[in-house]
Amino acid sequence: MESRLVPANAILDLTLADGLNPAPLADAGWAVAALEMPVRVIGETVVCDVVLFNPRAGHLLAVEAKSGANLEPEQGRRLMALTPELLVSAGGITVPEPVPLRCEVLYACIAYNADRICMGADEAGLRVPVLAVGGSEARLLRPEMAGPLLSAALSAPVVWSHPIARIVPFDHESPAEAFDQPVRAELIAAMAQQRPSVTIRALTEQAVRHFPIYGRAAQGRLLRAVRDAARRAAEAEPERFRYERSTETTEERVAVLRSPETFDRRGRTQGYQAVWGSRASRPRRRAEIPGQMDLFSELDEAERVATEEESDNGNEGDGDAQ
Amino acid sequence: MTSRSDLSARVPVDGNVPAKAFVLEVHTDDPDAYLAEIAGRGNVQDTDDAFLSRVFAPSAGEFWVDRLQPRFWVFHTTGASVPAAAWLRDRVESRRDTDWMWLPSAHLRYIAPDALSRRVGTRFDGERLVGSEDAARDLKVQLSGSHAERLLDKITDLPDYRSAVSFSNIEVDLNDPDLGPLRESVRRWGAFAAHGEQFTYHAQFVQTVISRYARLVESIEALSLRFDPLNEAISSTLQDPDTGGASFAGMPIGIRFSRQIPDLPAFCEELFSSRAPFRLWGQPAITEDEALVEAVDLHVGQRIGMELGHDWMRVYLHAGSCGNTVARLISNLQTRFDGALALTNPDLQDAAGLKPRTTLAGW
Repeated sequence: MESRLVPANAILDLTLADGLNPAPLADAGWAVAALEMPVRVIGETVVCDVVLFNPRAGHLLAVEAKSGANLEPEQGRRLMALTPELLVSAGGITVPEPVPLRCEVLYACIAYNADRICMGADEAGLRVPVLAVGGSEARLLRPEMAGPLLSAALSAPVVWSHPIARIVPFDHESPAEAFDQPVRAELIAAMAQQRPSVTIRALTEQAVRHFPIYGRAAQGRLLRAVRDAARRAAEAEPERFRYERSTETTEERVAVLRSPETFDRRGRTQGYQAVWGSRASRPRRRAEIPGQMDLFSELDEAERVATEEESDNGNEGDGDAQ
Repeated sequence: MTSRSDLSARVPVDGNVPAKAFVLEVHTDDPDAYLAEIAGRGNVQDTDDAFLSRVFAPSAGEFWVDRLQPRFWVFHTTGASVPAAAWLRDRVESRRDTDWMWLPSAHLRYIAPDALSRRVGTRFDGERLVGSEDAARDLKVQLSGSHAERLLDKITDLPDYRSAVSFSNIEVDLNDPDLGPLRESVRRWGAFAAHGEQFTYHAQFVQTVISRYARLVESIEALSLRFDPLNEAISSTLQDPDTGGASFAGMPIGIRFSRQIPDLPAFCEELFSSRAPFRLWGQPAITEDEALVEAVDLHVGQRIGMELGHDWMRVYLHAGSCGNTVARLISNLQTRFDGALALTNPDLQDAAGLKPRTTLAGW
């Protein structure tokens, strides 16, 4: 995962009780309410990267996931001016219990950048806790600035037992190759569904499942990245795909020229394996010489004939659903 | 016209030939048109029951198709099982909106709490995914006898062999004071064969197994990742076109293996080779300890994200995708790699790994 995307994904992973990595924020009652949520505050719009809500405690957590080492003081001041009412209204968050609402801000960053983020917060006069996310653990810095619920939830470093989940695996700033796998997979899916074509717009929304979190400019960049990936994919397989520019009557799209679905069963498997040279042949691990029969089952048929184990006795309950 | 109550005579369970039932998972908004399409025009006959149809399959004979559960259709027949299964297989393989029901091992092991298992079978085939040095690479056991499942339980108790035990088929005896005796043979791909006195007992048994499986599939789909744009009325007040924002729900589905993947690249090459039974296409990016792949489930033509380590897997199912994809993956991994795998989400594990206590519900 690109390091830029690690802090936001780490916060999400700590809030998703999927049973792999520890999820202390989920254990404490927080759930993800929104991503990239815009809120109007002090006459300006501030975008909260991740908003968590703890319905039992009435506690909202506005997380600023820093992709780099620089903290923007003005953005920080706007975040500190957030109120629970603004967050609930902006996110359309349902409050199931009539509990007093409160909110706090948490910064999350790569551990390598944590010192500079803390320094920037001090210089800006921001009393905010910082979650430093490293390769092996996440640690809450400045816990004295966190509310009791948050500091208790993250009182000890969270050790990653597995790689951080990739809920937002790439974004509009990702390198071109980040789009190849999802775009190619969606084109294969179109093949399997025997669709004659897929528009670049639809391909973008399918390949970038988190597309709705972005604003117009970022969505435009994502669309261009998907288009480029689709063109590369089509150029690499000119007999199977063709990129087509928009015309007066059609949107820009990728046409599926030939699908393995038109082959018989065996040919279908090989057809899919051949797309973009999917399979590099590897030596098989088997010790047997290719072409030799399985020694163990060699005598099965002989035994059946010799012992007449499977006589014609209408034993259909045993074999009928084979 | 035929009514539902006539099914007992049309699909007798007390004849020489067992009654068979095959379950298909179907996605359609227009069931009647769909059935006509897969059976061929003129081969479908309505009955008095809105959810019951009679289908004539030239190569397989007659089916009675019960659509009581809109997503899981039951094809009843007394015809020979091989042509019936072949006819249905052709339907499944030629479409992306139809699949079998892929029972996890525990759904067979705990098929019914008051059942006496007479015969069990495991056909674990790890040749392509399990290392050749492993203590249990292939395991094929079939046992007949009272409480036959206990042998497989004993093998499961042996640490070296537990990962190779996966129930592929089971035959059980049931007895109800009112409905009489019933013997059911069940396969992991949703095929049933029955002998007994009352068809209605058989039909209820099938529906109960389906309901449990439906709960698993729905539990899987409840975890699918969903990004929904924030209410447009809310965003429009911001007067800033360059903001987005979305609510988020779901989580990845974690699988923990009881055995190590010995060679991650080789494992991925096989798993994502497009071959049956997985039929997953993918071009994984593999590092020393991890593989990432945007795969395509060719059964349904849907993308599914996966991450693999040496003893774990994370599956990213997206909103709108079919939970049967994950159920099939689980069932096939159990018979090809690890019969003792566990789902890390407790609710999902509960739905997939039915224990005797939970099987009581709904039966």
